[in-house]
Amino acid sequence: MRKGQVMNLIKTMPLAASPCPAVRDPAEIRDRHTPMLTDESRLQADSVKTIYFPRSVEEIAGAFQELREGGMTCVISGGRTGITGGAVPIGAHAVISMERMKGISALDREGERFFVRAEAGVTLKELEEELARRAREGGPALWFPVDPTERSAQLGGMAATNASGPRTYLHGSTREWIRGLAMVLPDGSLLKVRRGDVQAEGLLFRIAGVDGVSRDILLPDTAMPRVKNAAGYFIRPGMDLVDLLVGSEGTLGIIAEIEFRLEEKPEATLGILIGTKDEEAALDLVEAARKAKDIPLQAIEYFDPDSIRLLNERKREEGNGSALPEFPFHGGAAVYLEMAGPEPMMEAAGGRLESLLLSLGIPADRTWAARDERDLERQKLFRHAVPETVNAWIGRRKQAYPDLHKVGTDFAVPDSALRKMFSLYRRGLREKGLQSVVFGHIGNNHVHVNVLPRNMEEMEEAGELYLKWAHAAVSLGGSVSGEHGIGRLKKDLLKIQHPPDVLEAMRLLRKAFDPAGILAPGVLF
Amino acid sequence: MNIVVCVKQVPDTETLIKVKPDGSGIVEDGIKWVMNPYDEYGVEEALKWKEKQGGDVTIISLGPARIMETIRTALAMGADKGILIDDPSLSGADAFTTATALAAAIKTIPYDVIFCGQRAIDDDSGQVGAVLAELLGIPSVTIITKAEVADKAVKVLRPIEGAQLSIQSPLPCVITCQKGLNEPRYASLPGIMKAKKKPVDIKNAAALGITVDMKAKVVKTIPPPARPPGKIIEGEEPAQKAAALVKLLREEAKVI
Repeated sequence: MRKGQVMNLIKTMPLAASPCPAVRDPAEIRDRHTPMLTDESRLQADSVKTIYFPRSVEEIAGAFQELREGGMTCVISGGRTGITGGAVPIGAHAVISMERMKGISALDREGERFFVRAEAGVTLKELEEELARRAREGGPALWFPVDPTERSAQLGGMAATNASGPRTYLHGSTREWIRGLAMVLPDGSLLKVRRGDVQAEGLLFRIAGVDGVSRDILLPDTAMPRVKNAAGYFIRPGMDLVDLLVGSEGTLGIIAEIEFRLEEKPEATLGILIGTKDEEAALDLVEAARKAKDIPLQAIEYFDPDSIRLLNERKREEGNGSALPEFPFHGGAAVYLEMAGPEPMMEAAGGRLESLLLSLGIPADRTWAARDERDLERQKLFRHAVPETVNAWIGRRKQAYPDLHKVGTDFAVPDSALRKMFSLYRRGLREKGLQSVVFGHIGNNHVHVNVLPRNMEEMEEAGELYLKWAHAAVSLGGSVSGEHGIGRLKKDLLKIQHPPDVLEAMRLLRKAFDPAGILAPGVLF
Repeated sequence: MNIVVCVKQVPDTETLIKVKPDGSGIVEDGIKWVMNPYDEYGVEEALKWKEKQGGDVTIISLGPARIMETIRTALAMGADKGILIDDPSLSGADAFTTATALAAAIKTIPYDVIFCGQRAIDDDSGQVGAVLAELLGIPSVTIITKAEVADKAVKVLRPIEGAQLSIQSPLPCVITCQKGLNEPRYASLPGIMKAKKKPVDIKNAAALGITVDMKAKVVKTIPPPARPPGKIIEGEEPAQKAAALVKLLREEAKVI
């Protein structure tokens, strides 16, 4: 901090509110806009009074003005790919859809660093296509390496939930790639902030409202788990304001525009699926691969033997027409490793990986390696097929038990607790005799245990295990939510993560941004 | 046994194909190039034969420098070496010219059997295998789903309407491969690492002593007609909407 300068003051600008395009006809909302009432969580709202479709920050301010005057509440709707229900307008009067905010700025180049500003409604797919188009027209070949799985996710939603993915292992989550953002606050003002502009003084921010009144925002005094984490607000003494706004799940304001940092696309990518004889051998491989600093891995993913069995069963059921790639190594677990970089580096690292496998007694021909785009896509198809297949399985069980649902964990723990967490998972599943698949981001000690309950009793048992594991993850220094966020469905878990006084401080923080409680009622707490 | 596989690089079926405004071909910008899927069966079959019989597998392809990627893919699967025929005069080659170039390259090496895909998914001409056999003066067995080698001869199965033909041919011969012949393997890590070091010869038309003599020319590439816009059926009651749908299907779409 420079001397004599107030760095922790959050300054906002007034916006000239303009009327926001909206749909208010109940029949039209029912017939044409039903997707707005739900998201990937499958939670469902009955209806809303209004769906706003702003095209600018001024129109967002216009929507807020209406909401304030009418004493109404709203949720923000992006690509609706979230699975904890943050975009579902349960208990809210209105939806603000970001789908018409589609602008992408020209590239900003600062030395070797590239930045692009994109409006919240741009999807990840649209950003990638635009970057590819510009590269074809002679621009630099750039990418946003975080790679959250779902390409229809909107950038605003990705920022609001701090989305992550397999490559978070090396590249971090969305937060690390955001340089700045523009957020419209519920009072209709605009908060434009870049990294370095506003930093907490210890745990203190001050916010200067458009009403001319400044209020203190005291952050809760708590240590964030030092793992991949999407549970509640991100807090750290002396933190940058950008880090607070990212991952705030639509409870502080509407992210209208995001400035992303981009990187030059690596020359080559190598994806390797490795069959191991069992889970133990896979864990050995993961730990050895993490230690091998001369192998620059950007993703380490896991598929337990049940995941592989489930996929191969599906492949058999689908028969000849199945688009699902066959996993060539039966009867064991699998680890997916991915690295990217200049061709000579890939060559050297590939050789070192071969030696590593050899030293672990894993036959190097029990690998499926991909280096061209199509083979990498095939591997991706295979990897993504696990959760899809689980959902289809649950869908079938639902016919017998309509209230049955998947019980899936999202806990992340520190490196040192990986084996401990696995043995807790395995013991619990074994004792209860539950069917499951375990897969996911093992590089970040963040696997998804998906219990497949066959009936309601099993679902109840799975629910008990789930809470037990959540407590265990927190006591091991972990997070109750590595990536899914809290939304509406995981509020009980946030209470396991943080003691009541911390949650109370988070509530006050939220209130400082949204005194009237307009945004996302029922989300987070 | 000396096994040759002819492969072609084609646009991935997932790629959105755009026709150039003047109809002279497709826009190649942004296309994802892959090995023709029928040729993958050829590579897999060659590797299986090699595993049983011993010998080596040579991959031959024709086209610009980007074709090297496709040859490397086959080498990563386990093939031993490659030949790339790269000559600007061969750009837009028809089936006859392609077969002529392939035949000239194949004549420079020993061969006992030649695998081709039964057709390429881009131009669907399906002629190169047969013309190649003709130019080399050897038999061809086409569109086969099973091949067994025994004693300087090959027994193949070819599905036809309602039956299968069991055909025997002496070796050497050209075999064109159909879906169902096998399940192409994935490359392994050692496969990919070794592929970079395997030899690929690059030859031009002069080195092969061929002169281009096109028999066929693509006059124009015409995109399929744009899909007509969808129609939303309005109405209050499901029964009423269903009736409207039936009416449209019968009178407008003429499908029922």
